Amino acid sequence: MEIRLKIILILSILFFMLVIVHFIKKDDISIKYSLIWLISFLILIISIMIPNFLELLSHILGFELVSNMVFLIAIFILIIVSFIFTIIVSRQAQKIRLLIQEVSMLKRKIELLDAKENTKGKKQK
Amino acid sequence: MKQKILLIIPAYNEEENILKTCQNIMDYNKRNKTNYNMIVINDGSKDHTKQILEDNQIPHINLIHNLGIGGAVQTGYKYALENNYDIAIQYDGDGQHDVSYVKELIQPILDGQADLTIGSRFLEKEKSSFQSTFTRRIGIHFISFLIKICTGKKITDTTSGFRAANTNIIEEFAKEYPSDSPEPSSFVEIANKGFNIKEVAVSMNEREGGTSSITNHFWKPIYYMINVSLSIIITSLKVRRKS
Repeated sequence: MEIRLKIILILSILFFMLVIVHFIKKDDISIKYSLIWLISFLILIISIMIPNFLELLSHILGFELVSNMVFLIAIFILIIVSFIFTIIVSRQAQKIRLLIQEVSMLKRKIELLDAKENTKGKKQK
Repeated sequence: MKQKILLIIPAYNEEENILKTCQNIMDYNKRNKTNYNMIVINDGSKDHTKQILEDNQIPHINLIHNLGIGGAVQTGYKYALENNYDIAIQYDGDGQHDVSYVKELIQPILDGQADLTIGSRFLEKEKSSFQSTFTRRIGIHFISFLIKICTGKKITDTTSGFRAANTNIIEEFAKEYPSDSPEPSSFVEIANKGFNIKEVAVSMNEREGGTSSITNHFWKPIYYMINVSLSIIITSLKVRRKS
């Protein structure tokens, strides 16, 4: 890989990492869910920095072009990440459903209690 | 001992029907000296359903956000569990169901013959005036066939939302209830857990207003069939049949 390309790649990855850290600081992303991105970016940077690492790996695995291997691995990682997110979304949907049910039932109880109190108050007056 | 009986009425944008449905029940109570309590679950309606319920002092729970039919009905079962009801009956808010059949629906439960009873339109052909359209019947037959494979039990009206449950089933449903197409998959779950289910012949009216949750878009029936088939198969894998 040419040195210019390596520098551009590393700089853009570093930029992405900074964006993520920025969002963590703003509390828009929790650390728990940012880890998966930060770790995969770190692995990317390391594999770019080690000279001839990607070329050697793709040769061992039998890829004709380095880019083919990089694309395949990237797509694979993205599929796993979005699958994990599907699980998280489904779990959260369940939790939200439980919350809506419990809050709504509590609201009814409170309204009934309020109504009782109001009629009591009127009687005392 | 007198049994505590609750009608769970899920309602989403039912301003045209909900008052009539509830008044029918109250009239029936008066005429027959029965004491069916009811709870309307207002599933985040965007019309005046909430206003109507409040003005007429009908017992209701306003869900703070729309949950869909499964989540709404489950709220009713949770309410039934919390208030120690002996029997909970699912009852549509759109005027499809006839309150005079409640007596027949709960009889097998009172006799201890069944844990869950389902009001079926197809059990006795001549009894029901409303049997729904041809394509819908094909769908119902297919689901019925699939359930037969998965549970070994026959059910004629798979999509019927007119059901009565005893305390065991109330507890089960309060704990876990499917959110999409809840009727068929909850049937599979209950059947495979070894509870007794019995169908009771009832007649249903054609809906008087509002739209069915299944057929208001052309792609919805297709989505519904795929969704139901998948959820039946998954549920039967999750809850193995007790032999």
